[in-house]
Amino acid sequence: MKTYFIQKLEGLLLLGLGMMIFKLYVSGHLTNLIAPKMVPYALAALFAFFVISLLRLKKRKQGGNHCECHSHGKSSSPALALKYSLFFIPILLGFILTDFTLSGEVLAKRGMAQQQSQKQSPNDAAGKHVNQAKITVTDDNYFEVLDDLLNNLDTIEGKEIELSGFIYREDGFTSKQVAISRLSMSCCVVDATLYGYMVNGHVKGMKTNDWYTITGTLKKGTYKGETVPVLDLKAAKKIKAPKEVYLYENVQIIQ
Amino acid sequence: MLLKRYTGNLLILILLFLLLAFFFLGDVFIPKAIDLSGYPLLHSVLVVFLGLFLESIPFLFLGAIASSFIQLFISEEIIQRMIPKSAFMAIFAAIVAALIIPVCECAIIPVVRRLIQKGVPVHAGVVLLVTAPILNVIVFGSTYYAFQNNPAILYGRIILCILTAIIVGLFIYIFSRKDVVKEEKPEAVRGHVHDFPPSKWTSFIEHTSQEFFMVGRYFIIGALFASIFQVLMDRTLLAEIGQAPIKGTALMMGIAFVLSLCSSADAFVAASFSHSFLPGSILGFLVFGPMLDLKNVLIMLSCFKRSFVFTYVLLVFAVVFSLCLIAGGLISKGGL
Repeated sequence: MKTYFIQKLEGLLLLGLGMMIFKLYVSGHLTNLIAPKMVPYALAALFAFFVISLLRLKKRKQGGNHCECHSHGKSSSPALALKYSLFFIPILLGFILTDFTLSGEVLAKRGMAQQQSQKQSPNDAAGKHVNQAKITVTDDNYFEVLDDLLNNLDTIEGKEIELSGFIYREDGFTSKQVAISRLSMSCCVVDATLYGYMVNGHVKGMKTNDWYTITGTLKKGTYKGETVPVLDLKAAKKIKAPKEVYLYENVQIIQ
Repeated sequence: MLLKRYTGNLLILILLFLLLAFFFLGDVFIPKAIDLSGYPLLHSVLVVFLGLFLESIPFLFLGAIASSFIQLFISEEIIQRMIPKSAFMAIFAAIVAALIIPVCECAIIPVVRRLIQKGVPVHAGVVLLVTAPILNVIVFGSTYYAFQNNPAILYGRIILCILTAIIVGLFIYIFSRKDVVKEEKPEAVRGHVHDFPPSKWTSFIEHTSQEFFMVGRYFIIGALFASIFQVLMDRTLLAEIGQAPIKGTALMMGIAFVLSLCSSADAFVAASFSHSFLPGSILGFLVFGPMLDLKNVLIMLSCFKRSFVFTYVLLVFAVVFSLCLIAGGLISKGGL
């Protein structure tokens, strides 16, 4: 009887896991938890879970009684139930949660990533963003622009830049300093990394974690002893948080 | 007996009904009833846990499939023929195998257990455990990308990984013990001792599912702990200790252990530490983390005997730690 029950229970849990992935995928929350490049794996798992759960839940024509002889194992029913009930944690979390953002306090504990200027090959299109009259940062060119700016720190003085992000503050910031930040993910929310530009100006009214589109002029500044591009605030417009909160780091293996 | 089965079925039906109710309505009613916004840290722990779970679960499942496949379709004779006779050659064969097999830490552990059960020598299995998470193209790619201006980290990661594998493999070979694999509980072996054996296909499904749930529950516990550390650890405070080579390396290895990052993503996180820590310490993070972390150790405990896991953890830590100190010294002198 126990064997039979466990077989059904495993089928049920696999079904639940599949449903959980399905729900997150359909509601679009999946990419708040794992990067798009991991989504195909999750969908493959979803498919496999459904197939195996159906096979497990299906009534077996024969064999049920033969299994009885081995079912009087060491672990008792309550212990077994406890072991399986662990799987309800992720299933229910996936069903219940609606907000998948990390809280500001957590981000403050991680600190802002300090981008290093990257070595680029000479025939690369380096500097193409810096030479524009006004630099507009989008999700797609975020890291390109950041690399460009870091590579050309001496020539960016006075250039105008427009970008969106959320307001981030650290303990050491003065009342005239914030960072306009984005979160980036390479595999899943576990490796979420904070990137941002320091902004100087009248920022007192801007609330931490609110989203803004900021226009400013660039200059050379420092963050934790590193030379980085810094913005002087010209204009700020409050915006709604975008649907895609994260930037996704694309690793090009062959470059 | 019939009554028991009836209650069992009833229970399953009730659970199924609850599952469906939560599936359709869980995000409508529950957030109102339990408001997590007052507990941002708890909320973040849950989000991080779910992220970690979703990221790893396909690979855990893949590991279960591979392990069942080996169990049912690959005979001990085939494995005996494939394994080189000399210990050295077995170690190198395992390293080459790790390069070819494109799986990382979640999937490899049950596979290695199954291989050892099928007669692969323990030291070769251990080499596979050490190298498989690091020696693959995706990990090379992300490490290269994250440390473009510091190629020593990429080379160092590969070289240290291979050296660790050789040293740990030899050590295990010399002080080898045969019985490292945890005994399977009766409920996990019932599939193939029937009077009328079910088809191979049925037992394959059964094995995969059992293996998945056995490894999975340890993984869930590990992932819960890892997400708590993820959220509570203040990384900005760590920078102050970063410049001491010995303390820094130990600290970075400790961080890698509790964070339980996937080996194809940890390079980016390591890059965010790279200003406050020395290269040797960064290498500690990148080499030790994929070999051993919280979720990993728990998965290992589901597959191997406790004493073996304990020896393995100590051994890998000691070897990686000393190698990283040496490598750190070499890098700061301009070598590598």
